[in-house]
Amino acid sequence: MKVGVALGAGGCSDDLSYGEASIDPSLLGLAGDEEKCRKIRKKYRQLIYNVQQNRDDLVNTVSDSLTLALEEADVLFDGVSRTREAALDAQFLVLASDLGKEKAKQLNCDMSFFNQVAFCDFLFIFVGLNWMEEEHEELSGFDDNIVLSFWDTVQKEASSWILQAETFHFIFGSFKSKPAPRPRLEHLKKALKMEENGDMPAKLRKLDLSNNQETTEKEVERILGLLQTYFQKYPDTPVSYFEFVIDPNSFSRTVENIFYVSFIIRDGF
Amino acid sequence: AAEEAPSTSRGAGSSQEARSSSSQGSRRAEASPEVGPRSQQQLELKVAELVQFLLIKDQKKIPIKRTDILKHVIGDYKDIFPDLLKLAAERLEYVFGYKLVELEPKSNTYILINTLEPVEEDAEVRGDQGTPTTGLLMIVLGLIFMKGNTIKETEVWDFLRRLGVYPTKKHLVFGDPKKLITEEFVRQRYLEYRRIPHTDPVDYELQWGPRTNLETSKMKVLKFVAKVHNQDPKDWPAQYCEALADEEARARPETSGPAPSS
Repeated sequence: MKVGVALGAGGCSDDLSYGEASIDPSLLGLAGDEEKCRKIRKKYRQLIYNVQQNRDDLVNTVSDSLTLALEEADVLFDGVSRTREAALDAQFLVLASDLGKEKAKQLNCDMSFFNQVAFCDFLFIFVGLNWMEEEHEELSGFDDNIVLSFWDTVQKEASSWILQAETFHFIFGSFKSKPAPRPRLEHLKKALKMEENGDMPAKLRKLDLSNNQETTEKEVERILGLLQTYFQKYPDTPVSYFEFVIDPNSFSRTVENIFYVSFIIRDGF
Repeated sequence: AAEEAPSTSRGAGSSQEARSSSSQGSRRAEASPEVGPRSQQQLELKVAELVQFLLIKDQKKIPIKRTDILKHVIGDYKDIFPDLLKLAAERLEYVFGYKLVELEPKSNTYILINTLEPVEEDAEVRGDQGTPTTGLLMIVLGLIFMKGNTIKETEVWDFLRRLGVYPTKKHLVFGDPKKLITEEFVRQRYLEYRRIPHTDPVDYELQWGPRTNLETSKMKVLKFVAKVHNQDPKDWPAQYCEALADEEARARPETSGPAPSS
C-alpha cells in the first residue's frame, strides 16, 4: 500500500511549509486529503454499483467487462491510504470473486451443454402430448385431465429411478389419540342436552315403536302379495329362496328381505 | 391430517412419563433387575413397537431423530438401544424390504429407503399414495445435476413455468409449488436451499440434499433425463463422466457402513 500524503494519519509532515499562512498547515493538508479520499470512496461505490447492475453481462463468458472492472479497481487502489477506502476495496474484491466463480462455472457447463428448453419439449413428447396446437403455450393451458395425466406419467417414470420407501398406512386407518380432557367435555355436553330434551325421548320412543310395527307388517304383506302374484302367473314353478331374498347390490337389503320372508314362513302361508 | 401414532407400551406421549418414573422408583427400591435380563417377550414387543414407530414416522418422509426414538419407544431400554435398533433394521429389511440408514454420519437421524429395485408392474398396483411429488422432484433433480450440481431458484421457475407450475399460483396437483420445492423437499432432505450472496434482488440456489444421494444417484438421474430425451446418457459426456465417477465411489467399500451406528 502506497503511503500517500502522510498528513492524513494525523502526523505533521516536514515537507510542506506554508510559511506565514494563517491557516494551520496540518488542517489544510487534512482537508485536501479528505477530498481526495471522498473521491476515491465515491469511485469505489460507483464501481460496485455498476458491477452489481451489470451482473449478467459480467458473468457472461464472452465479455471481459469483469477484467476491466478489476483493472479499474486496481488503479483506484493506488490512491488508497486509509481503512475506509480499503474496506470498500475489499468489498469490491469479494463481489468480483463471486462473479468470477460464477463465470468459471459457466465455462464448465458450456462443455456439455444442457438445453433446458429442449428438456421441456421432450417431457411433453415423452408423455405423449401433441404439441401441434399452438394455442397452448404451456401445460396450464391444457385441460385438467391432461395436466393430471401428464404428472401421473412423469411420476411413474420417475419412481423407477428412485428407491423411495412406500409410505406406510394402516388399511382401515388407526385410532387417533384423543387428548384426555375432551371426553369430560363431551360428557358434560351430553348431560346438558338430556336435561333440555326431557320430554322428547318418551314421545319419540312411542312413535318409533308403532312406526316400526307398521313398516314390518306392511313389508311382509307386500312380499306376500308379490309371492301370490308370482304364483298366480306361474303356478307350477317354485321360487328359489336365494334368488328371492338376495339383493346383489346391497347386503342390508338382503338381510331385511330375509327378515320379512321369515314372517311368512313362520305364519305358514 | 393428524399423525397416526400407535400407542406403545411406553404410553402415548409424555403424559405417561410421570407414572412410569414413579413405578421405576419403586422398582429400584426393591432392587429388582431393571437393567438385568428382560424377558424375550418384552424384547420382542419393544422391537415390534420400534418397527411400527419407524414406519409411521417415515410417512412424512422427514428424517427420524434418535431423540424421538428414545423418548417415545425405547425409554427404559436405553442401554440396549443399539441392539434394538439393529433388530428393528433387520426386520424392516427382511419383512418390508426397507433399509434403515443414517442420513449422514453422526447426524443421529434416520430414514427408510427401499432395497427393492422398482419394477414396471409395481406402478400399476401402487394406488393413491397421496400427492405424486416424485415426478416433480426428479425433474428438479435432473435440472440441478445437468446444470452442474447447482441451479438458481429463478432458473427453476423459468423452466417450470412452461410446465404450468408457478411459485405464486395454486397448482392443481401440487398446491403451493414454491412451498413444496423450497420447504418440503428441503425438510425431507432431498434438496438444499441456500441464499446466494450479493444478489439483488435476493436469489437462492438449489442443490442435492443428503437423502437424494441415498435414494438415487447421478447415474440414475442422468438415465432418467436421457430416457426423456430418448437419447443415450453418453450424449452428455461431462455429466456422464461425473456420474461414472460417482458410481465408482459408491462401489468402493465404505469405511463407515450405512448400518445404524450405536
